[in-house]
Amino acid sequence: MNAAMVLAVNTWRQLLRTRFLPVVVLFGGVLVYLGLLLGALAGDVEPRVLLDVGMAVVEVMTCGALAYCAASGVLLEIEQKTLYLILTRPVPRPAFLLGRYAGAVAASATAAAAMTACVASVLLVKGAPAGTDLLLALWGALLKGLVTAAVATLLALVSTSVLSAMTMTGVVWVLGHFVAEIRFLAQHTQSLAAKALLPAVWLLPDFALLNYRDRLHLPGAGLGESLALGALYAVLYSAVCLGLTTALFRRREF
Amino acid sequence: MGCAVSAVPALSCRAVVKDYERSHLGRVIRTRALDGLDLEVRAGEVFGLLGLNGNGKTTAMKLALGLLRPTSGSVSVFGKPSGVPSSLAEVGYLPELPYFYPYLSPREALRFYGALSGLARAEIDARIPPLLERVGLSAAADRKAGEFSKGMLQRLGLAQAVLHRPRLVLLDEPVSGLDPLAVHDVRVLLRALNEDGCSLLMASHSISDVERLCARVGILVNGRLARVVEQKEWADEPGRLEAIFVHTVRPGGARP
Repeated sequence: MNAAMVLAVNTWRQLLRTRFLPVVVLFGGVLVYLGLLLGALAGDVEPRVLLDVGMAVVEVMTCGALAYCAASGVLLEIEQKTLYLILTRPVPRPAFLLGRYAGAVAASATAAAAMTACVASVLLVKGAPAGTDLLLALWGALLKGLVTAAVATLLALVSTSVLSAMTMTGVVWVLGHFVAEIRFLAQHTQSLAAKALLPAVWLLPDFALLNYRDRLHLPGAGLGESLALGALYAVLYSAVCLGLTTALFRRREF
Repeated sequence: MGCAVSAVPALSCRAVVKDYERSHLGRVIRTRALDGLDLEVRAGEVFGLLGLNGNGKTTAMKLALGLLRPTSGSVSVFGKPSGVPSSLAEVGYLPELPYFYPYLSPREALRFYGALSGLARAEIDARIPPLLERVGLSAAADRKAGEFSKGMLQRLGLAQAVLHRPRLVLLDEPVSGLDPLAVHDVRVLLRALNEDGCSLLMASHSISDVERLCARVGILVNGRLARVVEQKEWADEPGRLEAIFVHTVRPGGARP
């Protein structure tokens, strides 16, 4: 097994053991409670609300967990000096970053899949089995998580604390859902200050491309094409972020 | 442990300068940690580094490991540039305070570090029990490192440093904070490693340990190697190395 794989497996195992497992159990419990609550409040649209709320929470939790794991992963290793015993072995620095990143993504994908299974189970019990909607929402959440983790890894290396890295990642995540709107406003405003922001908008990840469920119910939206393009976009955007992170990390001294 | 002795120096530092830089209110402040360090650790020897705090011992080790890069000069390990994977494969490192993931047991930690060193799983599993026995951690092999005392962490640190059978082991304060029994065990282990042909570079404040283990001792003053003392200079006279050290680091001290 090469170093990146060893680190990825170690990260995956430890995150599941120490962080994600309790989160999944908590999520399952909250969802069952929500199912009972909505049964009384939502009437005919209960399955729809359950699906929307459930998968929105899966997405937010996946991206939030990945932002934390990616931002804290490297910074805590530096702060707690556990990094010394890794980088003093024949482990290339890009392999360290890639291993930690891949492990965090894999752990959170496992947790997201388990939480999605909770949603599916609750819907099944309610007599409204979910199909494509659920899988598309999961796939979109995972791709957003991939990008969010890459952004957080990069921002962690230019930040001094986990909190600031997570805050900046949160800002990017929110703005990334409104890229088209921000671009439209910047193009149509008369304000030079706003126009000056336009190049920066192109740097933001466009998360709207990964909202697959919107396209499922949109006639003529070309779901197959957007699935492929979205995945390609997420992989390329993440690769660029990780490439920049690697360049910074190579120069870093400990 | 079976390390092969080589004619090439285990560690070589040539005219190494290391400046630390930090920014404060837009100004870059430079602190010189090493100032033209020339140091050679011969293959198969135990070399001690003595020096006051902040005189460059840890910096020299980090340069040998590639955790830091020299501002100028060169550092090589068995003839290879420091910090590249091929030279790191030859080195074991025990930091002053070895930090481990608190959720890993010694067995799990050694499996993890062994795999990172490129060892096969079967090989790692065969090496772990005798190694844990040797460092006195057999009984705690499956306890979490988060529950360990400083002495136990140091023992685990030593185990991870030699698991992959490196040809050079860098030890930063290997006996600092240990109880007398642990100090004895560490000493026995280091001697055995050296008898197997491993080169050791040991930075320490404990002159008595350096005296017992080292063939040569370098004294760092203000980032320079002020003096190298051979074992024959102190072997027959108790307290001689301490006197040499004090004279070297204290300007105007009486010549021993």
